[in-house]
Amino acid sequence: MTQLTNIDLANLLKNDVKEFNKYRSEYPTQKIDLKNANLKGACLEWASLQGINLEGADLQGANLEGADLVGANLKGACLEWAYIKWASLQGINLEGADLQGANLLWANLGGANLHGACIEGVNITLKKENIEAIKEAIL
Amino acid sequence: MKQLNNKELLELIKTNLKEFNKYRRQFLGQKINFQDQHFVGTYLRGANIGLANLSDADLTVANLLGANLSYTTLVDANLSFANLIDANLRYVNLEKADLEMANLRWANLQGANLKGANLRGATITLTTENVEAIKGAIL
Repeated sequence: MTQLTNIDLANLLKNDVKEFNKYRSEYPTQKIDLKNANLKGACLEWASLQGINLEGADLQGANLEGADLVGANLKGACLEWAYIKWASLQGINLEGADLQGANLLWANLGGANLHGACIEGVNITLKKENIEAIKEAIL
Repeated sequence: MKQLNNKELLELIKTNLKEFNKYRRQFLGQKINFQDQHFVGTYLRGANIGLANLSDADLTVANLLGANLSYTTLVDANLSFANLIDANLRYVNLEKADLEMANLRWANLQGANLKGANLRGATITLTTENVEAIKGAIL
């Protein structure tokens, strides 16, 4: 597979998560920048999104079940009503993100930055690391 | 319907929930005492147990979906793995109660006392009132 640009990767992610994940395993060091990407309602189950820049992205109502978002940057992103169950969110930057009504059951938020994030109506599993993470969020 | 004692009410709630709720509407002021009683896995969906005393009661795996438990005393009660989705838990006293793995999604914990309660692995909806209530709990 040839190396793709950020625009191509955004399209690949929207249309074929399996291929996107395959690409990522082939190019593990490529820095992916999907800043302000429109991923509204996208089906991103089990997507390999670790370390990706999704700052300001629109992920409203997206399905991110089981997705790997470890160390990803989602500063100011819209995740309203997103389905993020079982996702790996360790070290994620969610500063100022909108998570209103999102489903985060069994997601791991260890070391996540939720400073200034909106978490009203979020469904969450009460684990020490999750509580630690949500302390900074504005309710 | 004639007024029933606690023993008769216990039998009624376990065998005919609809009648129990009807009874409660008729005898609004009656103080119900179900202290130390066993409700393990009991179907109590939509039960009106508001203002009752259920201290030390065993409600493990009980189905309390949409139940009214407002102002109920549940000190030291066991509610582990209980289904409390959409339950009314306003001003409930859950001091030292065991809520491990309980499902509290969309439950209203406004003014609830959770001092010393065990909430490990419980699921909850983050509203301003609920976050305020869980502050005193053990995680």
